[in-house]
Order: sequence, then C-alpha cells, then structure tokens
Amino acid sequence: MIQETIKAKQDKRDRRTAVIGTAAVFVGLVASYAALTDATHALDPVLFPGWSVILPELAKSSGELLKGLYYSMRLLLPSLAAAILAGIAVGLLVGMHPKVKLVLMPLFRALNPFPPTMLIPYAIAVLPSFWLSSASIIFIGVFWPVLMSTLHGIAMLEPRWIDNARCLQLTGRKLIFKVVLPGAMPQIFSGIGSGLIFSFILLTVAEMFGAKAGLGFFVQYYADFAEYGRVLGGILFMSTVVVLIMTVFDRIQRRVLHWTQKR
Amino acid sequence: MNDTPLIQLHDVGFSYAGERTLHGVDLTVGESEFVAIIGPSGCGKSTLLRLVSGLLMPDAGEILVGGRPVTGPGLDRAMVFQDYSLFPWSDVSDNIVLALEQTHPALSKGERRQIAEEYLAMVGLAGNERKLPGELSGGMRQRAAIARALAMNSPILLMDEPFGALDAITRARQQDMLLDIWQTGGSLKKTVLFVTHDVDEALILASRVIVLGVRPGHIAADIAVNLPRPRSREKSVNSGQFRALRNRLLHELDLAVTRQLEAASEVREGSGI
Repeated sequence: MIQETIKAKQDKRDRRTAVIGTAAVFVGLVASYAALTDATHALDPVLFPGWSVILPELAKSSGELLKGLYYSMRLLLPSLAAAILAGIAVGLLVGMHPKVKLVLMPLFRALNPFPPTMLIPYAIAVLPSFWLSSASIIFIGVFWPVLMSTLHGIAMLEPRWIDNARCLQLTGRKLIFKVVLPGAMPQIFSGIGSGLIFSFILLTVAEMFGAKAGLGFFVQYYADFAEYGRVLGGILFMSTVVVLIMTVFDRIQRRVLHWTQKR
Repeated sequence: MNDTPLIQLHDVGFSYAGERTLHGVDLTVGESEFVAIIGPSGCGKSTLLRLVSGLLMPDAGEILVGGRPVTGPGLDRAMVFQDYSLFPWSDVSDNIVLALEQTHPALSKGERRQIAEEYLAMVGLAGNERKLPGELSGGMRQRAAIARALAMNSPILLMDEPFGALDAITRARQQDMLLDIWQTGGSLKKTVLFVTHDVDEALILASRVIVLGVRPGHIAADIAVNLPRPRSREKSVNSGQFRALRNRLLHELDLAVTRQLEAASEVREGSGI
C-alpha cells in the first residue's frame, strides 16, 4: 500500500515536470523566433516573417484553413480507416494460415519498402479523380506497415496463449477476437503509428501535386506568391492538427493496450 | 458408472528433437483419483501431462480418456499451467466467462457471470472480478486459474506445477485450499493429475504418487498414499505415516537420479574416453 502511494506521488511529480518542462521549452522556442525576427530583424523579413506578421495572416486565413482542413480530412480519414481495416484483415487471413504466409511473405517483403510517392504521377493518370488517386496513395502507404505489423504480432503471440486457446477449444471468430487480435494488438498499434505518420507526409505531398484544396495545397499555393507569413501560418496549423490526431491516437492506444502496463 | 478407467496410457512414448523423453509409459487412472506425478527435472513429467491434455501427441502407444483415444485438447480436461492460464488482456471474470462460453453454451450471459463470481469467491477472490491478471499477485493469479478450471466443471483437472512459482507460505495456503475444495467435492470430485517436483506437496494432496525416472522418462514407482481423509496439511505432515512415505519417496527419487548418473557414466566409458 505504502509502496503504491509512493509510486503514485512519484508519477504525479513526473507528470508535472513533463508538463511544465515541455511548456517552458515551447515558450522558449516561440520567444527565440520573436527575438530573431520582430525584435532584432536578424533574419530576412521576407523569408522569415515575425509573429506580428504570421498571427494576423493566420487569423485572416482561418476560414480558408478550416476549409482546407475539411478537404484534407475528407481525404485522410477514409483512406486511413480503409487501410487499417484492410491491413489487419489481410494480416489475419495470411498470418493465421501458415501455408499462405509461406507463399506470400517473400512478395510482401519485396513490395513493402516500395515508396508509394513513386506511384503518384501514375495514379493521377490512371484514376478518374484527384481524390481517388490521392486516397489510394495514402491507402498503400498505411496498408503496408499495418499488414506487416499484424503479421509480426501474430507470429509473436506467446505459445502459452495458444496452448490456452487450444485447451479451451477456441476457434473461428472467438479465436480471432478473444486471443489473436488482443495478443497481436501491441504490434498492430505500432504499425498503425508508423502508418499514421507516413499518411501525413503522403497527404501533403499528394495535395501539393494536383489538388485545388486542402492544407498541402494552401501551403504550396501561397509559397508560389512568396506569402511566407501565410505559408508559416499554414504549417503551424497543420502541425497543430497532426499533434491533435496523434494525441487522440495515443489515448486510444493507451486504452486498448491498458493491460500491457499491468503485466 | 462403468468399469472403464477414466484415463489410460498404453506403452506411450514421445521424442523431442531426436531425444526420447518418454518411453513405455503405462498408466491407468480411475474416476475421482488424485494422482501426483513427481520426478527429477527433465524426466518428462510436464510432457506426460501435455500428452494427456492433447496439446502434444505421442509418437508411440495410445492415450484413452473416457475410453476414447485423445486426438487433441478437449473441454473434458481443464488445464492449470504454472503461471499462465489466464489471458492478460481480459479481467479475471471475463477469463472465466470465456471458458464458460465454451463449456456451458446454453447458459445466459448473466448466469455465466454469476458462476464466475461464485467460483472466484470459492477460492477467496471475491471482489477481484474486474481485476486484470497483471494486477494480481502470483498466488491470486493461480487461484483465479484454479477457479476457472473448476468453473468449467470438466471431469479431469490437469495441473502442471501450479504452485511451483509461489513462495513457501503462499504455496502452503494454496495447497490447503485445493485440498479443501477437492475433499468437499463429494460425488462431483474431479480426477486430478498433478505434476510437481515437491515431495511434501505430492504427499499432502495426492492419493497416489507416480515417480518418473529419467532418460528416457518412465514410471519408476507407483506409490499409494493411504493417509486418512479428510486430510489437513498439519495433521498429515506431523504423522509418522507421512514421514515413512516421505522417506520412501525420497529414496525412489534418489534411485532415479542415481540410475541416471550411472547411465551417463556408462555412456562415457562406452564411448572410450
């Protein structure tokens, strides 16, 4: 009991250190940028506009940014969801059938590292709409890490869990949802994490190529007019969105993998 | 009911990685027997249990449970492993409910939940239903595993050194608990195969102790433990009969190990070193 309260107190202190420390570093970075721009004009004011330029531009383009966000999410979220579901489903199908895995694994290993960005020009040429071609690029980029991590997670299932499942004669859906998926979840989540980060890169790259809307388009568009206040504002906005999405992801992950902390 | 013994092993052999780990094992276990299997490490006692459970298949002889050959694991044999009978991602109650879904498909969800609660209370874990296995101590985890095996109500209970990883005091308490539950089982008494490397544990719990010899594993002795029932650990341990049995068992184990050493030195001499 005493041990637990000591640990709880230590945890609380650690959390406070983290929050205060991170905030301090963040404020420090913002202030240093201000010092180099607005205060001293040490940096080129066209390429590096100060906060006095960026913040009003950010406010002015908020409508445009929100619209961009809407277009970006309309592209990102369905592609992400489809890729995660497909990656896990194919992973289960292949991972639970050793012979199928034996045949397909060499192909997976060869295709997995192929950069999906190479496919962008071709996808745009082949597929009827910009949305479909970009969505398929993001899909491919997320599908592979999720598939490979699902396969890895299934291969790493502890033999004792399998013994246990066999003794209980679990088969089919029950075997998948009560043993295989939960047991492979830690690896699957790490695959989704890499897929998520990759998806932001692919999203913005795709939007800079041929889009008429979206956050990547916004940054590319104003860079062409050398309006770097808006460009930086757009980048800051995008980073905030990414941080929010990653926070939600971390929350979900912590919740689903709650049991791994208690082992 | 009938005269067919519940578990029969005929001339069972098993090899692993080219080495013969079990050879010529003949064993018959009747209904409601509590049989301890003991032997030096590497004698194949866990392998023997896994063969009966159907997790492993013998490469010689045959194993019959209820008169039928074992072709794989079955719900008529509930297994308690050393420290991993529960899935770590489900709470204790869900673990038991999952097992009950398999053994008692006709019951409603609420009924299963209630049975889980009853058995958890029986092993002294009332109020811990919603805990994850990782939130419990080793002893509590093992009690939950036993609760699950009992809740399944399989006629056969296979226990693979269930208390092997526990400290001495916890282990003694668990033995008392198991003794209590088994002895008060009445006509519902389970048939238990209990693997252990602890002589006292075997004598406290079992009605019969099988001593396994090594290289390859074989039955070296089959000793009846005629201590009066209902037993208690305390009464048993302090009786002269217990001490005599203990000496005999230790002697048998000693013989098994000596034979192993002799066999090893013969091999060495034979190989001309």
